[in-house]
Amino acid sequence: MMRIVKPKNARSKRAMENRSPKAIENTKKALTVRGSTCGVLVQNAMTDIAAYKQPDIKKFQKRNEIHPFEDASSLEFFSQKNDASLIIFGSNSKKRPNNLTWLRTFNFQVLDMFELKILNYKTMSDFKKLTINVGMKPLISFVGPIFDSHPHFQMVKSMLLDFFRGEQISMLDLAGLQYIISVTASGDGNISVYSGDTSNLPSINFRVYKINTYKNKTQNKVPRVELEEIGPRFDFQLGRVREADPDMLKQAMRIPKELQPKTKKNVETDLLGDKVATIHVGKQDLMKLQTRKMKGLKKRRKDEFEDEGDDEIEDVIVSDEEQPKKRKRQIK
Amino acid sequence: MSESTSMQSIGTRPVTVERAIPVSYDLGNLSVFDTNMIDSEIMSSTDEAKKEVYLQSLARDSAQLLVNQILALPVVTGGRTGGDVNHNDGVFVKLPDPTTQLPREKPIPVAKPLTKWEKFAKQKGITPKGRNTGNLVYDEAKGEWVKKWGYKGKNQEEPWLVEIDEKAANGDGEESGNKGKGTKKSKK
Repeated sequence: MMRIVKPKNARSKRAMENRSPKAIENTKKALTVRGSTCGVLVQNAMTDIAAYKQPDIKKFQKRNEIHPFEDASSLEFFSQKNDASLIIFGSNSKKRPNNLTWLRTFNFQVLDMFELKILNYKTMSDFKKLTINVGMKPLISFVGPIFDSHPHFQMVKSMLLDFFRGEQISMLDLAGLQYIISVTASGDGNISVYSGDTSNLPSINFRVYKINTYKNKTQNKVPRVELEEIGPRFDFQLGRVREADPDMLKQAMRIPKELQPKTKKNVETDLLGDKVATIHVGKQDLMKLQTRKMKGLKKRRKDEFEDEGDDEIEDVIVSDEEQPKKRKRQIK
Repeated sequence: MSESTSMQSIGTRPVTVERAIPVSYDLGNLSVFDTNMIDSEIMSSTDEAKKEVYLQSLARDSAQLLVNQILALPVVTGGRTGGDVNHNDGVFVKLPDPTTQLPREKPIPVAKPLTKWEKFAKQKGITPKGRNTGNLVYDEAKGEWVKKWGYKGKNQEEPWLVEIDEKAANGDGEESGNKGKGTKKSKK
């Protein structure tokens, strides 16, 4: 479907190489797409969510007649054209009101997706205006055992983490710890996946807070953290889920050789945490071994023979070829 | 919150968080995963305010735990290498690599097949010639970069020690003017 573009100058060539598969990937870009029946509420919801994904998000303005769970091909096309692997599709229908479909692509094909229906929504403008700089990395917190036990909630966790985590950085400026996105879901996770009835699943509470730190004058190490809600505030209900195809997921989870941790051969860490290594000494040529300078191999007086006999063999750890040689000498 | 809480009094609040099941962290992604049980009674109650307070307290605890962990990381001062003056201020911590494995967006790149020339070069053992490294060369003695050639270039520097040829000199020593071997001819 997509014609192969041949770069005509260095600039376009660099742009093309930036989009091509790489060992260390770029930050994932996102798209917000409006469905044919997307209302103002859903549009505002997507705008609020997009605020925390800036600048790696593009918002589409036009409405599109798409049903992701039936045919996601046009979403795949958008993903390829815009080099965006995360898509939020907003729609509204009688059966599924105020619906957000979150989906991820791998190689511009749908990897996995799920629906989050908006139950409660409080926009950012309803909260006190506290500005957050664009592009700041958020702290992300997932509270609730269900995020570890239920496979659908694990997918939600993975997708939200992927969406909001932002650019990968190795050096963090401590002033950049500005806000936290907290996702909570009650329930102990002992809910059967195959019950089919999604209304029994606990709702997902999505909250965003600004972080304020207060230093304690006496102990200077760690400050007290206090939060202020800045919104948006969502209560989501998990809807339909399309899990990833296992083969595609396996490919997507592969780590390239360059990034795999290099384990050194012969070096291990034992149970106590000590580093243990095997040193391979080369093969010794026993014919060339200088035995004249080894005191232990000297002939001993006849009285000491019987006592020493056993000790010699135990204490001195030598190869088998050495021992018969020694014994021959002693017998003499 | 009937009484106003001053900055100082907030600072005296505890910074440790108690959790039955220890939480897991992914510092590379600045994330914390808390699998402790949630009070379902509060969550399913109709009192919205109570629920929000509870959710905020859970979030505050998570944030506190995460901040404690981040501040325990090795600190690097001197700023990021960016050249920008603004980036040199501030305290930086070195974040570890992310631990949560998230799916890639594109497949792992396949090694491109060698072109005809590359194959030939490899077979013949042809390596690319070292490109011109420019005019500058590092002078160990001075501890700075000097030009190889040109105005004040290194190839033109006069030797700092020149032996005076006894025969050539007229016995005065240095005063006769240094016309030794290494000196440069002055322009007429």
